[in-house]
Amino acid sequence: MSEASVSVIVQMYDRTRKAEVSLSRSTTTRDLLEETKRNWSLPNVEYRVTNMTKNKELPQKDQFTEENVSDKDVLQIEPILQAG
Amino acid sequence: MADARARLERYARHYLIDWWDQDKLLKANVFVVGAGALGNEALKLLALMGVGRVHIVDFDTIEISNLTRMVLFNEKDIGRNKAEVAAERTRQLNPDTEVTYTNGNLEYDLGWGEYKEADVVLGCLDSIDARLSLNRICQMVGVPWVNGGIGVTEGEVSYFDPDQGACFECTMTDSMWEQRNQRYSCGWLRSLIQEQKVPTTATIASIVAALMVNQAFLVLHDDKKSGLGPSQRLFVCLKPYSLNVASVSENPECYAHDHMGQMVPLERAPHEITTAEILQLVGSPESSYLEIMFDLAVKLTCPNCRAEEYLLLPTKSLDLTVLPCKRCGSERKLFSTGFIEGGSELARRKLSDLSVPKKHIVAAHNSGNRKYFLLK
Repeated sequence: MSEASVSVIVQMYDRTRKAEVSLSRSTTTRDLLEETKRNWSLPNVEYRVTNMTKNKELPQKDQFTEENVSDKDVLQIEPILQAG
Repeated sequence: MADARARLERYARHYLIDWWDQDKLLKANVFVVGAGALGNEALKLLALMGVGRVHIVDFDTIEISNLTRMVLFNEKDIGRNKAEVAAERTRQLNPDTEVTYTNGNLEYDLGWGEYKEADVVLGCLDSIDARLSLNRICQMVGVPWVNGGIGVTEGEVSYFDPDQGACFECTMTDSMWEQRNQRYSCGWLRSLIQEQKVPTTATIASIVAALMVNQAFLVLHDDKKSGLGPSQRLFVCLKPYSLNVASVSENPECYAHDHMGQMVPLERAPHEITTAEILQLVGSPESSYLEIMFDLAVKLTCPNCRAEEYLLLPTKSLDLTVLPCKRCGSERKLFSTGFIEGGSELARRKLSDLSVPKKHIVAAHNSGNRKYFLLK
């Protein structure tokens, strides 16, 4: 794996989709979400990304380097739940 | 109120638990903001556990579609106020629990000083905007709050401590801001977009509310190790089962971390005092202004026929249908503000005329200084 990229596992919170992908370390969480929503045709709701390996939500503006995203980290896509 | 013997019998099983402090719960004051699916379940649990004081806030009325998830309501209640009925039923569950309610908006119908009396607040809300409002209030008055949200088989609980860590506003994404802003047009007037109905179920509501009440229970016991810490969020999924806890980053650019600190109690209620009288307490009213903590729709002016209409209502209580001129039909301009200048005509009116509720908190600004006052 090159220094410029990181290999992560991206999965939906309900395990309906899962993929191992190689992404640039300069990828932002927002980039990842947009790409995932497009590729997986996700419903048009709000999502966030949680790094399950590090138990940390990734801020959408941050790049992977800023959040220390590492190889084999599991990044989970979760809906932002608004109903009560 | 039950006598001591009846209490011992009622809570006999709780008294067998060595770390459970029933007396602490009986003295606790918990606010439940939102009496929908999460609110109903939370109220049921708070009453069963013997929490001494509960205040319920909701502006909504009961619909038949609510009855699949809201355990405290039945068909005879359709059309009644959720907060009122929830209060009745919670009292029936446990007469030890003193239940009060506000049938209104969490931001401008209930004085912020009331929130300050809560030990913990449960946010059982259904919109980003309501959560932002509650977050700002809790941050300002320094009270911890627990946020809950549900979907069909998934739910989340987060805990926000005004003294440390991230707040709800720190977690806002650009698209959440966009979604929130779509709710309003022309300042804070509500737009006419129909709110989207989100599917939810009784099972997830029950589980998430139980987690929220458990978090409140741990806060009341000052247990900082067992539950969610500040800036932590729990996500639960029922299909398939999973549960994770993640930390949330504090946003250093977030504007919501503003603490009130010291407040000066006033011995006068909003109908007994004017802005000018409060501003006299901080210096010259002419060079000062009063912040009332919500946006006030002052007047509508027609650019065509020049007709004016005074409103003096919270802007968020109005929608775009107020804009057409009643005389000529042209779209009127709204003047609204959250700040009352000391030299203005509005400053001579009683605060109740400006829709300020009792026990509200206002801030007097003078020469760059800010002083908070608690109304009676």
